[in-house]
Amino acid sequence: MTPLLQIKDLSIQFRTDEATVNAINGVNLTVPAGGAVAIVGESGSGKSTVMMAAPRLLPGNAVVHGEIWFDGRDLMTLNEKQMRSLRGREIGVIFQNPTAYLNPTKTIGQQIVEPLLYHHIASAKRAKEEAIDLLDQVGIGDPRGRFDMYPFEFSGGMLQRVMIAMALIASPKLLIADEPTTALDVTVQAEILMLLKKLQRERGMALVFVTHDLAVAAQLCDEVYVMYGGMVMEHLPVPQLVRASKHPYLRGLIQSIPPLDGPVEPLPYIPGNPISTTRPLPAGCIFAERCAAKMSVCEKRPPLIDFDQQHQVACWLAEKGGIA
Amino acid sequence: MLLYVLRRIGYMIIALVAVSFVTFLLMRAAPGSFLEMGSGGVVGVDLGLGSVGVHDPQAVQEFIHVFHLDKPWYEQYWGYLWGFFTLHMGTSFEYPATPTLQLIGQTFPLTIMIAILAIALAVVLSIILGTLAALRANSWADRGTVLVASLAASIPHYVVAVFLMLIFGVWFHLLPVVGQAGPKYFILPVVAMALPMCGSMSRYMRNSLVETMNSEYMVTVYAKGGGLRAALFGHGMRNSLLPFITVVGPQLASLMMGTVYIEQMFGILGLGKVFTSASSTRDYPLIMDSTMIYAVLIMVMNSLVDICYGALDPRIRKAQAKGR
Ligand SMILES: Nc1ncnc2c1ncn2[C@@H]1O[C@H](COP(=O)(O)OP(=O)(O)OP(=O)(O)O)[C@@H](O)[C@H]1O
Ligand SMILES: [Mg+2]
Repeated sequence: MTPLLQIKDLSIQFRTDEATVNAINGVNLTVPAGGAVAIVGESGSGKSTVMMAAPRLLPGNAVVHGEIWFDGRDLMTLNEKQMRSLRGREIGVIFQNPTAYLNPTKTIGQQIVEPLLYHHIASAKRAKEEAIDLLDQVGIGDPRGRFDMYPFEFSGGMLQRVMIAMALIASPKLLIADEPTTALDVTVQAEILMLLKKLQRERGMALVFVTHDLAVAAQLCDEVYVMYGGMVMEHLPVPQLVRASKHPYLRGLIQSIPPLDGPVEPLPYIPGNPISTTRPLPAGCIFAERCAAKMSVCEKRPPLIDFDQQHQVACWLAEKGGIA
Repeated sequence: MLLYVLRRIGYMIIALVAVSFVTFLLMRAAPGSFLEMGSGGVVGVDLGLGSVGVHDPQAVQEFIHVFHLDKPWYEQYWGYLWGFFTLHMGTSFEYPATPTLQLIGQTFPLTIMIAILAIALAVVLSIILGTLAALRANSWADRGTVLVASLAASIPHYVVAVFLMLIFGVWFHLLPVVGQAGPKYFILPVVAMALPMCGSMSRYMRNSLVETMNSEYMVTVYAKGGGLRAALFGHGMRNSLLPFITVVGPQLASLMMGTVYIEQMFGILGLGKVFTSASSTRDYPLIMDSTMIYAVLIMVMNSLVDICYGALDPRIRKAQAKGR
């Protein structure tokens, strides 16, 4: 498959008054058209930053270097107007906290139709019909009545459905979902995930799913990028996740997923704290100080080593077949 | 909704009784009386009650009787209050030939016109200035307005009035400075009242808009393909007007007091003028009636502000519709 989105050597710093944050430190990432890709990592690993860089929605203090190829264009070279014509129409985004990301003083109907109106895709009347249709598809009962309601009259799960409808109304080729279920309770979470999967399949749309939950990523996606300290530690197809993962960090993450059956035991966890993004990066492997399998060669930073087709690992162990 | 209105009116009546009672006490506690300080105090001048002077004990007795000044204080107070609520205010000491109701009817429209024009001008100016400053947040233009705003906020109405009179009336002869012979005469008074209000109000608008434009739902607007115009006029303005309107309310009381100075300085025969002359001549009935009119005005304007607020905020609008 030809890649729909290809991020090359992306690095991003945030300039703040106190310090410069090295949020992203050389990321390469590919999303095939119609594919579902998960980006997994701990809080602060730079998942949101990478994906918000694609539609160029980062705040003004972000300094971005690298290339972001989308559908044959390098988004880094587009001007603001060209960029605007892409957002909402070819790239849809949904966010973690729907309550904060919806305007409290406008009806959800007014907000859902906006992509169609901004891009002059449909008249206000047509847009309303499409929105009602889509609200029905995402599982909102009585969509016609709900159309004129305000966000405070909805539950969190319903608002996230509204957000999904809003992101999809202009039929984008790529949907970026930044932890869309983290703020919801577990049963609602499962429903939303199923809905996303269903819509992605039906529409043949590419999906980038940002999450800290490896199990969710495995359910929903075809391949996984595991991030740590603003870098990709490992990239592999989901079917190989459990058996073929090589990086000690990813191994740690997998082992800390509670099993559904079997006795309740204390789970293993990865000791130490995530690497500081405000200090200069170490010369060696950025995971070394927390790594149980640390070797002397780890003084040198490992590149992303091709372990297999579709499988890269940033660990010296990969050369020897990975951690046991 | 009806319940809400009724409750609101109930509060207003209680507040009015409190205001009138305090006024009554202070008025009676103030030294001097109409007979010494009003036009009758100057020997031989026509009091309007026939030729009554302080030296004519019989006329003084009659005066005291006509105005119920021989009754106990609570009966007098009740008389004023009941007269006001039933619009049977009788006449004042100073103008026994003109019913007070008519006097208020003549002067009140001028005052309310000046007040409303001033607040409208101040609101429009503040919104424009605040928006410009917000769009250029932290630029030199923004910082410049901070200086001007804090200057304007610390200079009282009457000083601004003197400057305006000097510049437009005395130096450039562009506008008349005293009188009320036509629309031109009201320009300077209205501007003199509006400018000091603009200082703090435009700052508030600016801060409120900056906060709105940085909120998370604005990211959604951009993610949908909206530009600055969609963000500002489609979402930002309305949401920043909400907190802005709450600061307009408290300005109203000082605005109404401002009319008293302004009418004095520009020689306009409005309610403020009636109020000042009534106070300085100890014209008891007129003090009571004009104070209560002022109080009613301020309360009505505050209610209008609340209604505007409700109209802008769907949460409050819906709650009111349900009749909380
Ligand atoms: N606007 C900003 N200004 C300064 N630093 C920022 C900004 N946004 C993010 N960062 C920093 O960049 C790093 C990566 O943040 P990012 O939000 O991408 O992490 P994340 O993986 O999405 O985490 P989470 O799971 O908490 O959402 C963090 O260290 C964060 O503190
Ligand atoms: Mg995030």
